[in-house]
Amino acid sequence: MKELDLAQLQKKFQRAILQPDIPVPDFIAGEGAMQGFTVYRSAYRLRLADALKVDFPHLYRWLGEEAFTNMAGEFIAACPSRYPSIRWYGGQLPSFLQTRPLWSRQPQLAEMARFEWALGEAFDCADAQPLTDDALMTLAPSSWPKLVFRFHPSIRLLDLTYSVAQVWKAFQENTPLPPCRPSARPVTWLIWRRELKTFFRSLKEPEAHALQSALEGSNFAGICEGLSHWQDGTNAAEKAALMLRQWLDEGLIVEAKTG
Amino acid sequence: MLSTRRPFLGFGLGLRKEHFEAVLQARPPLDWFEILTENYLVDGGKPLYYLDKIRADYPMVMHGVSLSIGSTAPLDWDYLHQVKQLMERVQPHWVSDHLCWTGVEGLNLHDLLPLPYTEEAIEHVASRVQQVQDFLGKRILLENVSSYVCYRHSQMSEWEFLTQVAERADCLILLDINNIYVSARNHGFDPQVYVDAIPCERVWQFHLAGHTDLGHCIIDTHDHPVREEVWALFEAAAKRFGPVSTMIERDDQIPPLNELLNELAQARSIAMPHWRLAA
Repeated sequence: MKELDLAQLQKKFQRAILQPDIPVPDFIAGEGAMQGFTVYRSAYRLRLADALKVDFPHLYRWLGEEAFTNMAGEFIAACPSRYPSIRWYGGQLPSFLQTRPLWSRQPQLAEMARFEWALGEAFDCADAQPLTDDALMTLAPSSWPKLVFRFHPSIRLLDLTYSVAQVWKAFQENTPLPPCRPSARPVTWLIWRRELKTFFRSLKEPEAHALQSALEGSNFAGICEGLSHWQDGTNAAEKAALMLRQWLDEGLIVEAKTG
Repeated sequence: MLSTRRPFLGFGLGLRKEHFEAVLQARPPLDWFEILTENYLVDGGKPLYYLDKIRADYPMVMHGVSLSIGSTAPLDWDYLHQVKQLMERVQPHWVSDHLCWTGVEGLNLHDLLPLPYTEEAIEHVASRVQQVQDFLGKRILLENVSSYVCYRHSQMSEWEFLTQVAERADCLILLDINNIYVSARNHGFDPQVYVDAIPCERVWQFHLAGHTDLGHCIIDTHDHPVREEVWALFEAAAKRFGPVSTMIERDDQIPPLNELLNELAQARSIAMPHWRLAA
């Protein structure tokens, strides 16, 4: 048998793990070659599927063992890992579910996956100290229109058409599952972490708009102006101030400065 | 070449998130923790919060799974930078990974794949270990992995291979007693011969773990208590190597902390009579 160099050997070994229907490479020795190689083939799929179960625990419960395992198998076959840490392996699952024919027919699955992945991102992203009410109140009123805000790194805004957050909550709290119906228009959900705890809530359209524009760097005057689409001028400023107070209370804002 | 005397940290456990709270509340009587490097390569939140709190009370070592030291793909310098950053945070007594490869062509199979025991592989691994050690500024420990296949063109035994790599790279060894047992059963060699062949002074850490016996083959699932045969091999290793920092490694079916502390007490009661004599 011609001797392979190490690079060739590793390429062939890897290919035979990724494609379980090709023969076991002939450089594997002994009567137990097939059996031994099968250990690696199975372990590869099991380990990645387990990682997906950890990152998408309620999608897993929602689909059930069999359907989840089939879905994970398809995903693993389509998307091998390119990450040093298995922590990041599931990042492509939402878009996979959204685009694959069999799964995209049930768009609530991709939405649940997006929701769970965002919760996971909020869980271990960078820490930041939230700004206190007092810090903001010491600012001169004249500086308010030019205030811009820096937000906690955990913040994620998701537009979801299905009520997957309610389904997630029911799984989490072991309560009966609510029906998961699409709404006429997508609803924006806010996910964030305060200290070590992750939170989420839905936003009405004006707040979703205001928070999105604040995240993109609009100053307070710009936020008020955006809100005037829903309120008249005075009410818009009042509404914006109320929202700001809530964002502070929830620990969303970490810095306010005149831009 | 080898000069530093082997430090002895005592008896430790692999730190698992299931035990974070119990460790903080109870400050269990153990000497040190091993952390899984990749679990803390994140930017914040619970993992780093508990890491810092627990580190304040216990010595730590770092144990990685993604170095892929035997791969023919280029070393992942982004990963190594992250490891180095974490080392600055944790100030570990040492850093270890596995004598294996995990993928090529940009992929990670997230498994500890065996190398052929050849001169070519020794040269390849040794030169990469040297690069890693230069970058991290300290010697690393390489762990023997369990294996389920053999390569036709291997030119030597696993223990000769491990010894050669360690000596040529001037690195240290994390000897996993369970993995020796698993591979010995799967490949039909005498685990005692393996233990007797490893150079004493390079072994700085022992892993003890459980495995699953499928009859035709055994797998290092790390989801069971340490088995009798592995305790016996541990005793033989304890006699041969003298005081080596020893820990229980449980990765799945994580039991309450007390169960692992009992297992650790067993390790202590097996090893200490030999190590007191040595002292």
